[in-house]
Amino acid sequence: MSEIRLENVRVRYGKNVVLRDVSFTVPEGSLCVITGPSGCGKTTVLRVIAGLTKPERGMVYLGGKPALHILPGERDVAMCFQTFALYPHMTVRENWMFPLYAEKLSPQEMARRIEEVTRLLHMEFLLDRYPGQLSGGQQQRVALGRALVRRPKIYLLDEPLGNLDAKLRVEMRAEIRKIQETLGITTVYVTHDQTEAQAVADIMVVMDFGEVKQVGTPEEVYEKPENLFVAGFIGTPRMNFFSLEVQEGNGQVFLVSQAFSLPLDAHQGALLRRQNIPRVILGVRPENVLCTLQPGSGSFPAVLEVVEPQSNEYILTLRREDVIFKARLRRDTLGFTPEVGQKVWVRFEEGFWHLFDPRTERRLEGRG
Amino acid sequence: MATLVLEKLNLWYGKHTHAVRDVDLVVEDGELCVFLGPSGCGKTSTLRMIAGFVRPTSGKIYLDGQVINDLYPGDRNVAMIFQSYALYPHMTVREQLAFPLQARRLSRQEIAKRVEEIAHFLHLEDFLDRYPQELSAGQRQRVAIGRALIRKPRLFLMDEPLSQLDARLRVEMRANLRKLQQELRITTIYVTHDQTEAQGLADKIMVMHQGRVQQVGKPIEIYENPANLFVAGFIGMPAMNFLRGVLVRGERLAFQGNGVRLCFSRELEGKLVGLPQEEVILGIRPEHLVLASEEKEENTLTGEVYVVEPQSNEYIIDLRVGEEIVKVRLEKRNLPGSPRGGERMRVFFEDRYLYVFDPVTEKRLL
Repeated sequence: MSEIRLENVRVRYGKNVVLRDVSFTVPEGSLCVITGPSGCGKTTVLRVIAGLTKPERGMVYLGGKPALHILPGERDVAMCFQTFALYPHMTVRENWMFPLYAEKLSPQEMARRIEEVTRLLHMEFLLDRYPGQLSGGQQQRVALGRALVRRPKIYLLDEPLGNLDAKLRVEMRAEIRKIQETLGITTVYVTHDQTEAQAVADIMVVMDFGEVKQVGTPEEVYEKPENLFVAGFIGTPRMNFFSLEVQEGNGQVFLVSQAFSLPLDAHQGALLRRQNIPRVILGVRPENVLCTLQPGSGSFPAVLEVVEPQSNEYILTLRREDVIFKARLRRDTLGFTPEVGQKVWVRFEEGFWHLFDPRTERRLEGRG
Repeated sequence: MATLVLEKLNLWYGKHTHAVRDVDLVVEDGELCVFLGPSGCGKTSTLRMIAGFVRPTSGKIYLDGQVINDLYPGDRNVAMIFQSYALYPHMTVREQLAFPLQARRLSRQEIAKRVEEIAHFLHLEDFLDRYPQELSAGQRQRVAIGRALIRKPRLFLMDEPLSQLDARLRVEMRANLRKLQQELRITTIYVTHDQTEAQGLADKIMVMHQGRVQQVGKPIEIYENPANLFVAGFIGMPAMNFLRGVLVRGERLAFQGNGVRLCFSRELEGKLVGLPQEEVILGIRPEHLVLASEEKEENTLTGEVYVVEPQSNEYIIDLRVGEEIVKVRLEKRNLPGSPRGGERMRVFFEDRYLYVFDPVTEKRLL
């Protein structure tokens, strides 16, 4: 049993409260990614789980048992860092043997473990190389392997791909995902990179200023962000936000600013009417901002300010009066070649409007 | 206002390192040209030759038709912006902007006028009396640009100016920079290893690898028509899938790879039959694969779902096809639900999205 559960964990460094009432559960065998901007407390959470930092308040349960009194070395937790921290004077094999000596295993058992990890990480031909003779991706694998040979119950990874270039990061993250699935070791993975977080996580924990802002699957966090922070943090280019006034006319609810007036669908209209909210923040992701050359129902005009090709897409920066926002659209279905200065008609795709209460910054409706 | 021409430019560091090899390039007046490639490809060395920090071993650099090889950096009237912006921490924005002009001994009135102009243009009016540490990353970038701009340079040189910013800010700053450059219309060379940045910013991209120019073209051209295997693999994320194998000519032509068998539409077959090569590398981009029905045979790959990565409105799926892993990018809305590991999946590509490369020369064949 290696479920991890944190309950109202609070950590303070001097006067600074770095974790405030952090609670979440990582079910056994799943991969949990903690993500957030730098300084949000994500690494501190990892340290609390490892036993390196003692919370001021709250509880940590490992495998259902209170763990605060257990020393780091006895928690059966293996950690892997951004900087790999390999021994430069040892070969790959020796780097992997090292943690096993401490466990006083028989030579046969050691050999068996090394062989297993070698196969898993595809390092067959590299066992006798030194770290300096390996590429970044290979060094990464050695670091992962060194934590794995110990067969820990819990695996903690702190920005494990942070030192690799963008291309390699995309390749390696799929590998880590696969290895974790194969081994089924409960894993907590920390990264500031929200694309990486979405890609590898079973469960995401999004943090800001020492607080947990949302816990959910990557799909939930992306499709139904619970608050403005999560909405803005997850997804790139970031979600467009519009601060709008709620008005009623002809039995319909409109969201109004100087730049535009948007009719709400019946469901969301009723919701706002019920809650009697004077202003809202409307969030629309760039991929739900649709552009055409001809006006259509619900569309408004805007001017193209910047055109950025991106693989099979365009990222467009648009301006309507003083409001600047972005669209991310597929080239093959756009139907025209966008040019700077061009006037286009914009519509926000139905069913993808995110409404937030500007006072609480919380999501207003249940639909994604 | 300047046109930059590089002619057969070569750079040797010592006897053994041929850092830049026969680089030819024309950058038109007002263009933003990105030098793109992995580290060690020669892009920064080329930039440094243009700036005048290193002398080319051979070849010529023309600025507006004039050879500038022998000019000192200070006499080339080029402005450089670095990764770290290199702002003076003890100077206000106003002082930073005025500094290059004071060095030129302009009158106080003239300096004040130019500073006002630039500040207005870069929307820095409200920050003129702040110090760098009191500014946001975006404001600092604008100060760095302003300080370079105020000298009215003929050429802007930028070496990874966004690399210190976090991913999210980088995307925003990139669009700002693009807009600013289009307004200024100053010929700009921009060095980066980040292909997304290059695609987003450039009028023209020069892709480099091992000191050589691999391809020069507009971002969309380079994405849609990569000249060789290197460019095809370097541009696009996740990278293009490559399948090594042979073309088997029978009654119908087929591709036989590492446990992968692939047959093609009649039209595509017609093109492939004409190739002299037997061994080929096929390239298909992850975003050009779509779900296919079970009846479809031509232009399809069938595999087992290996890894599923949610990514914004898409899934990136690693499909195990024979002994190969093929990455597929599918929009969530086009899928019935989240795909599961072990599931069978069949994907299809349109004729125009198949790339073929020669495994020996690595040149593109189709």
